[in-house]
Amino acid sequence: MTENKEMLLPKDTRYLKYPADGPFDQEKARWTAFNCSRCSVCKWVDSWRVKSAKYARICPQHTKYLYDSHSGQGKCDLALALIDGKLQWDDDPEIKNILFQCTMCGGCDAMDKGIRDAELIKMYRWLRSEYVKRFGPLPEHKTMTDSIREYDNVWLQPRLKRNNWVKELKGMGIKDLNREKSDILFFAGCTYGLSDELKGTIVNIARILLKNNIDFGILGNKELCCGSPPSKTGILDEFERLAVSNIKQFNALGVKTIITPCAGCYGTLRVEYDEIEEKKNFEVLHVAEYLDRLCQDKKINYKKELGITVTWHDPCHMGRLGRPYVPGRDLEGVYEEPRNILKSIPGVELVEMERIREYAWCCGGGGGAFTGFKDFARWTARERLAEAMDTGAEMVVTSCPWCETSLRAGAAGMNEKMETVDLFDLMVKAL
Amino acid sequence: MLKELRNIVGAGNILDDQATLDIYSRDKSLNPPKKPSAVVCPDNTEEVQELIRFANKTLTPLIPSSSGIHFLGATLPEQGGVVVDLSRMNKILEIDTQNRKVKIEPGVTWHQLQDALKEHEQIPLNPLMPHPMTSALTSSLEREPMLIPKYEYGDPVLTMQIALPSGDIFKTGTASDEHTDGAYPEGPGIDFFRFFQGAQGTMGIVTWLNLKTEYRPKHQKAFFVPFINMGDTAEPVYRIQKKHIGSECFVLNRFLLASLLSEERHGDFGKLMDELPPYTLILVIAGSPRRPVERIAYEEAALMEIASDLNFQPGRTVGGISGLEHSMLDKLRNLPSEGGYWKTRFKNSTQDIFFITTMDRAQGYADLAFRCAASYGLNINEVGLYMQPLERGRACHISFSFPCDLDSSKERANIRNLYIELSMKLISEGAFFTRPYGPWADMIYRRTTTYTDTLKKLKKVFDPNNILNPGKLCH
Amino acid sequence: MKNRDRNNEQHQQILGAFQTALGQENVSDGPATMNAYFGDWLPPKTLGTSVPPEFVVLPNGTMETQAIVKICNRFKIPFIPVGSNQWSLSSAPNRPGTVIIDCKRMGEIHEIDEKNMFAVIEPLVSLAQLHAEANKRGLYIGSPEASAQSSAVAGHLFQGMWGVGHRIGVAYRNILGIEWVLPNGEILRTGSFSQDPACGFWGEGPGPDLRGMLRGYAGALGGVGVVTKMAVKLHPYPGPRTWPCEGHIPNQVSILPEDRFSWDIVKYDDLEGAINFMYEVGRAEIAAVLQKWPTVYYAWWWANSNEQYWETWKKRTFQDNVKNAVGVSLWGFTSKKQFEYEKRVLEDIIEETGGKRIPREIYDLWVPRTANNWIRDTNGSRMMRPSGTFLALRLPTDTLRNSIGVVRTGYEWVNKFSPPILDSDGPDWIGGYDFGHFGFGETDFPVEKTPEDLGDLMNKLLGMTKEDLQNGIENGIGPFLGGTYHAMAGKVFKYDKLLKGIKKAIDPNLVSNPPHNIPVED
Repeated sequence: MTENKEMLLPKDTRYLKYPADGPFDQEKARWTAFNCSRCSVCKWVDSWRVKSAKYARICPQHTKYLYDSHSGQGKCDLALALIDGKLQWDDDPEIKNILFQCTMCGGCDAMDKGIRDAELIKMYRWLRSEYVKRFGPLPEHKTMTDSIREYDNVWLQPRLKRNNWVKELKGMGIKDLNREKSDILFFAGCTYGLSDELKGTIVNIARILLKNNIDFGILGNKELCCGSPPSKTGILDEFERLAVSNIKQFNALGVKTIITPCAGCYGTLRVEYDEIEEKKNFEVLHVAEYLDRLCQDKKINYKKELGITVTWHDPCHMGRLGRPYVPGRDLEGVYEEPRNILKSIPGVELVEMERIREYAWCCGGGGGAFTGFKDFARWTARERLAEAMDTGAEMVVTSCPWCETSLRAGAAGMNEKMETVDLFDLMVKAL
Repeated sequence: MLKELRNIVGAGNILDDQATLDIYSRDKSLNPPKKPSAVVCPDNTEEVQELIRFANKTLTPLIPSSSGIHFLGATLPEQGGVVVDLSRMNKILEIDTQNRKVKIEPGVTWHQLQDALKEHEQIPLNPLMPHPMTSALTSSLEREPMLIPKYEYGDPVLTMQIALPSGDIFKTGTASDEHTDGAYPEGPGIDFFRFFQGAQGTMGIVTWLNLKTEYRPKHQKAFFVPFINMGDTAEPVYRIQKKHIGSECFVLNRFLLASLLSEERHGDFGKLMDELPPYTLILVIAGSPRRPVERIAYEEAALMEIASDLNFQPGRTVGGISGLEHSMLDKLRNLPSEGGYWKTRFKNSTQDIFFITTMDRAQGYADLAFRCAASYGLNINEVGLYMQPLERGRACHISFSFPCDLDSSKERANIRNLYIELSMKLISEGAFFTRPYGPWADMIYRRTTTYTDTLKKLKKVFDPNNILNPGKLCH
Repeated sequence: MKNRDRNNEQHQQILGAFQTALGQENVSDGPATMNAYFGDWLPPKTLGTSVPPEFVVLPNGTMETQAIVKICNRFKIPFIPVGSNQWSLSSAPNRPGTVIIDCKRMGEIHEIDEKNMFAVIEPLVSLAQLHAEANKRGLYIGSPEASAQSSAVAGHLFQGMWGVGHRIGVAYRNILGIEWVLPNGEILRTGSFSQDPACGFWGEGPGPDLRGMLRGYAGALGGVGVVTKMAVKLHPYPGPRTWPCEGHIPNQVSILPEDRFSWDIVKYDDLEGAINFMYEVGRAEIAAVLQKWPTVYYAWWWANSNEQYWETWKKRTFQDNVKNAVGVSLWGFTSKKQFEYEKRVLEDIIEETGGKRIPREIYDLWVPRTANNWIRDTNGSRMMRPSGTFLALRLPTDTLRNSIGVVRTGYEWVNKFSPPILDSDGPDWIGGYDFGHFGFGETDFPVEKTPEDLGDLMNKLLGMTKEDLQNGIENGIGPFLGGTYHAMAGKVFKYDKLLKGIKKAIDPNLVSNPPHNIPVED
């Protein structure tokens, strides 16, 4: 007993109060890695949230590739060995797979935060950047990288095409913030904005906003990639370039609120931009957060009853990776808002999958896995689709272009059909 | 040899007259007689150690025996040798009421133990109405089923002292460390105590054993539920056990319950056979040390709820027998110190086939046994059936009793054939014979090749000269 | 201490043999993969030398595991089986050329027999998975404090001092049938698995129970082969079919239905008072969980961040309120009436023994977020959080009474070596098992995770263990150290010859994680 002694506290002050803010560097990576106790929390859904044996795993990479090296724990071991020089970067070609198969979904990161200050996703991003420094981007990611450098988007599309989606809204008075003023910027994102398959979603969103007389504008051809893909794939110089340019542009235009339909953009703008020193004069919301307010205020007038059972897939970057880490604070995210919207749509019954919110299973579309490790991404998506099917839902609803693309790719060729629908496309059907 | 034995146990404690050797060469089983060359009665552990050293030196088989009554052939000297009769070592060494345990020597009987624990408000976890001479130590070591399935943690066996076949003394669990209360069975190192359980004295001679004891209730009620078929008892017992109702809980068929209740073979037995239902579930609801009446009340209410759900009728008697509740509780709480054994009132021996299974499988085994008995010309109304739920109904012990007149060679042969055939059939149907006595050993160990092989290897480790009860199990 | 070079001819032969048995994708010898299999929860070198494995293999099922074990025997190379590989102590290779048998492809629950209350599981099945499946069927098992994400098979083999042991005993007394590849490559089936048709309902026999080889105070530490399938007991559960949990990590709360479940935290003036209360609860045959936690546990399990931990510690939030307190959870197994009955009995006992409930605000702060971890754990690994790790001193299991003395001497030791041991307020965990028949003591204390502090302390701990042994005191710490300890303790407690004999008999080539469970000199 120590009543008569001075209180004996750890000498390393990081144990007393973890400095979650500030740059994430090698020292922080080592701290995260060093304090791995091999508790295996990174491999499983939080025990209190496990509802069945079937859906108890959290990490797609570890579930698929099995070796502990391919888990959060293994990556901590790897980081420590590389930092301390026990392993050299070119010792084993598997290092590339260990680092880049991961979908960066943050499942391990979220589960670990239940028990310690583990910033696994930041550590992975740091490890990937160190890899890229030595060997360059993965060949599979090269096209994307070149595209960003050349066109400021990930899809090898000319900048002028950015504005194509707006053509469908001609005459509806959508503002171009390069010429007009508004406090609200609708940040479409590369994937919604440049994909013929997905752009209908943002057209639908814009219609809803316009119909409700929301004063907002877009950047049109001046919109740049948010920087998410290079940020996740280790090309940090590109991420920084894009982030700085974006912040400067947003500030210059006097934007106070950015709303985005893309979960990837959302998480990047909201969390990863904290790494950029540039002052930010704006808040970032997902469209679901914004529209939920309208739904709560009963401002959305639905006209149709859909008569459908759906399940909601939480995109990682909208959920557990959608808030900066503050030790002790709830791992909040945009969880309730899309559910509220779904429940507000007449004739929509929401049934939940077992793994939801901060303990959701990934779609397979993140972290560069969709381009770098296609089979694995498809496998991950199919696991999610199977879970969705087990709910009895007729479709998966989500609100992330990456999730939608990955889940649809996963569904192709499956015997049982499970459609993936964007939240706002579903909403529009009832209007 | 006798001289050396005499030096160890003293002249008065060695028996080698023909009459005694004849007695020790047979038991109540149908196993062929095997004569020992002597019987020695040690008084303490040191003498047991000396006997073992002698046996190793002379390669003389030693057959440990704790009581004067045996039904299963476990103490017949298969390969000759000296019977070590431990019945003189009959002290209760310690009653630890705080930790609810008792330390006993091999010669302590269940009656003796139950009686000694009474003033401490404790009971031992005994099997169903054991023979007055049955050793509590051996009975527990050999994993005879206890009557109370409510203690989910089970396992009444705690620590023990063993004279190993090397002659060394070994204490299991925390008894190995003198700074403890010697309560915990696991250790030292590994779970050694498990090798000595179910071993029929082949792995060592246990000279004392610590057993769990439990609270002896002051308030209790016995309930009796009649059933037509064995299988009908399963669902009620599952439900009762899963709801944590009751203390003692078991099922007897008409024949065994009549045998248990009747005082005389020809007296009330026939009447009981007429009055009792084919099967009776006996359930004792007992109070605990605190608020016993309230406890009984809620358990009784819960029992009645299940009874109403499943449409069965628990009563304070069955078949209109007067005084049944009192008589049953008295029999359970006050084991007889002497007198006849209820299972052998009908004939002078009972040949029991017992195994472990689950309650939902019990009816199938009962059908098989009765069919088989009938095919041997037995009156199936005179075959006993006892079902003892274990561990809250996770499994059950089933025992079929075939009364047999040992003096009739014809009946002996008939019952033995039935015994062999039925045992083999039951084993083939998945009945788990965890305690392979006599002819079962071969039936079981032929099938469990790696288990058998490993057991033989371990036996060599413990008993390289195979001096302890050779010929038993797979040794 | 060096593995064969990957180009070495024998390495290639072994690799080829493994690949033939399992397929190329289920065998690895890559350094990046090996790197994930040779650490434990302490900084490198704290527990002595460790070397990466030479291979990691992923067999699926008993037959493939047997094939691997036979190859290991053929080449006389050591193997170590791992389950979930959580907090590994004995699964870090201690000699070159080691093969890790990783059970990641064995994660099936083969069967849950709802009626007869048992489950048949493979080694990767976690306690949380099993708990969830059991709950769905109105059944439960326990989960030790750290944690439900560990392998249920490994957890059952290795101690399993779970909260519900008050009623159902500790984990390793809940093992039924086992299917098990012995070190010599033979497949051993115990209990009712030994029968044909095999079924999992019973653990013992036939005859002497060979589970004795496997279990023990801290398992066999991989020294007796690989368990590939196990039947375990499940128990009747009056709780909801889905585990109740609200909120978000790291502040989730779990509250079981209040008409069937309760938690009381009752404090006493001294440890003796607390233990007396535990005896009375056990004697009364009530409650499902009965645990006297040390102050430090309240803080460890509860705090959502290091900052919260140390802030509340400095304020003495728990030290001043839960010292010598016992946590007791009543469950209404039979009915609401039974639950009410137990409440009345508990009230009587508290009054008679002079107990006091902890202040309501502390109860409200602590119980919702923390108490149910003793039924299904999720926060247990938080004990690493405030200083990076912890160590345990002695871990005696005997009677409740015996635990008092052991943890008391533990205080003295902790005091003597503080620093480097950090503030812990007398870390005296005493768990009650089997309705008070047994008590388990453990002295866990926080240490800063630095190689210097820990290395030094480990030496002192080992020194104390040796000293204890010289005095004929067992106290349980040793089994966790496996072979080294058995070599020392075996002589004192007279089991070394038997254990060596057993090890040699089933592991003639000494391939199963030597030197566990005992070193054998040829």
